[in-house]
Amino acid sequence: MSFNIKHVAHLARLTLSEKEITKYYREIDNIVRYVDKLASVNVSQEEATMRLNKNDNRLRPDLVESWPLEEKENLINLAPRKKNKLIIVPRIFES
Amino acid sequence: MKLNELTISAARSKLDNNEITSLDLTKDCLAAIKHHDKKIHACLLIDEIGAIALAKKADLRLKKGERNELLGIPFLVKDNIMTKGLLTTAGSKMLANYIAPYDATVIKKLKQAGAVLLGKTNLDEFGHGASTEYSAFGPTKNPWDKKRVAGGSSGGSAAAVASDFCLFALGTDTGGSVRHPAAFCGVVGLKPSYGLCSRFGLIAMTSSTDTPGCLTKDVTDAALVLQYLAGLDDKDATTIAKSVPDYKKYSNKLSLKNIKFGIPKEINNFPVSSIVKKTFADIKNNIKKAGGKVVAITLPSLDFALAAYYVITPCEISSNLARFDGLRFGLNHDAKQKLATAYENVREAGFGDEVKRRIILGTYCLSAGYYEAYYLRAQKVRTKIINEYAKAFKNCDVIMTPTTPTPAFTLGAKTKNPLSMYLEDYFLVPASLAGLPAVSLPLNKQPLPLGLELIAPSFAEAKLLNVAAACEKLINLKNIKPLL
Repeated sequence: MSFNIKHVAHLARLTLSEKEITKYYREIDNIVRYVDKLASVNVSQEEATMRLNKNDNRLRPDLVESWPLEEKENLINLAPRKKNKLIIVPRIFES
Repeated sequence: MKLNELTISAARSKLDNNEITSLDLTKDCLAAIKHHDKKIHACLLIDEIGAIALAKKADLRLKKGERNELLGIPFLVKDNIMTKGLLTTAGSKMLANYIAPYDATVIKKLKQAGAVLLGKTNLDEFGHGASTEYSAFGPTKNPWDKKRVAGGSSGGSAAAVASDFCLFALGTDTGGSVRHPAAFCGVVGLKPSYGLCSRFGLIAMTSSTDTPGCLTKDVTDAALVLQYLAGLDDKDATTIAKSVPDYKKYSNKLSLKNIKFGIPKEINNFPVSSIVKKTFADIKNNIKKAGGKVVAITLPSLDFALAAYYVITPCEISSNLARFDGLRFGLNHDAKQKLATAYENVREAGFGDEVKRRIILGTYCLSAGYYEAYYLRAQKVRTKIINEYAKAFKNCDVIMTPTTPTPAFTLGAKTKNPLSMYLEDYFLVPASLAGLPAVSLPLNKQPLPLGLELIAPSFAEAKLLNVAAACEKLINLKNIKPLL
């Protein structure tokens, strides 16, 4: 296996130290060598199972569900930075 | 005998006959935790005030004549299950200060029944691990030998039940996280079928295999708890509309006569310790002597299940854990930083070693050019495993394997080599990939516990509990407990 661990870490929004890069590369290489045994299985006749119990898709009317106000407020209050009822996030567009 | 040592069913009759109160029971559990948990570290949070209030409420309901199986019964909950108003950390620094704004569906149901929530138990961070050593808050020790691990990832829940800190505990099982620590700690661990119990309010790891489960002192208690976990939930679209049978009825039929146990011949390819080999051979013979039948079956793709699992799971983890961005909950971000830097800093500070490893592995397996070779292929192998189980169950009622390849290992033995930790799940992930119900029963307790895993067809929990109760009677280890 060879992969650009810095690129993959960036895709996952993780910054890794040089020490972590070496360590994770070695460990993940070891795991990938193990899971590579999947290549020897004949799966030409198989569909992928993305989810179990797939024949049971349940539909419901698209209605707003009532929810206790206190729980809603507690949920919003979990945000680390707030102003009134708004959540403050870093600037998304650079000027 | 202290009251915290009782099973649910034993406490039930005492509560219903007014011999004891829920408050007595709850106080004995709290005292046991206070006295012994420094040595074990099974619990991350004890809500003493809340528990006493719930116990008093349960006693009022009992006094008014109300009766149900769990009314007044104290329990602990793995800390990746949402409990309203209480810290729910998932064993991660990321959520060290996260107070759940609502209850998981399973918690809601248990509270409605009048069960008494004592607190929260330790786990591998986000459920990633098989030893509870990956908890950001320190490992849980095995009650049978404190130099050894409790197993994982529901290690705190299993150690708490083994230590009589509660009458039962909830765990979650994604690839063995209820069964594995149950085996290491000498308790019963039940993983229900995928779709039987609601996942709403579980902090997601691998959405396609996650399920809540329970750790109990015996099989009858597992049946009693499952009764309250099972059932359709509008908040989890993967739950199935099926009528839930009265599981307790099935845990009382104790004959092994003509029950067919299938042993996959492929398990012989995987190395297990000599004590596991011996106890497994012994139980096979004892089942036959008791009138059961043991037949060889084949699951040709069994040896590929672990590889498929360790592709599918990291992929779903990399996706599920993308939500931890530090903006809406969790660790604080620096408002002055640019968005990308803020994400990276929060995730760097909040996630532990194993979590990062799984996120990187999963992101790699899902990235352009690798998706088909890894994720898609693993999901096709999964289909093969599902079909092979369906075929195997034409020739047997349940499938039996050891739960783990060895008894509990010493602290630190596997953290240096992540793949060796993954191999702990060898006997456990196949049932998870196929969504099948499975239970681990104590097969041996001294010097260290070992587990017997039984797997049944999808939604055949009644049959599974029936066979498990009969095996439990045959093994006859229920009353042997660790010295704390």
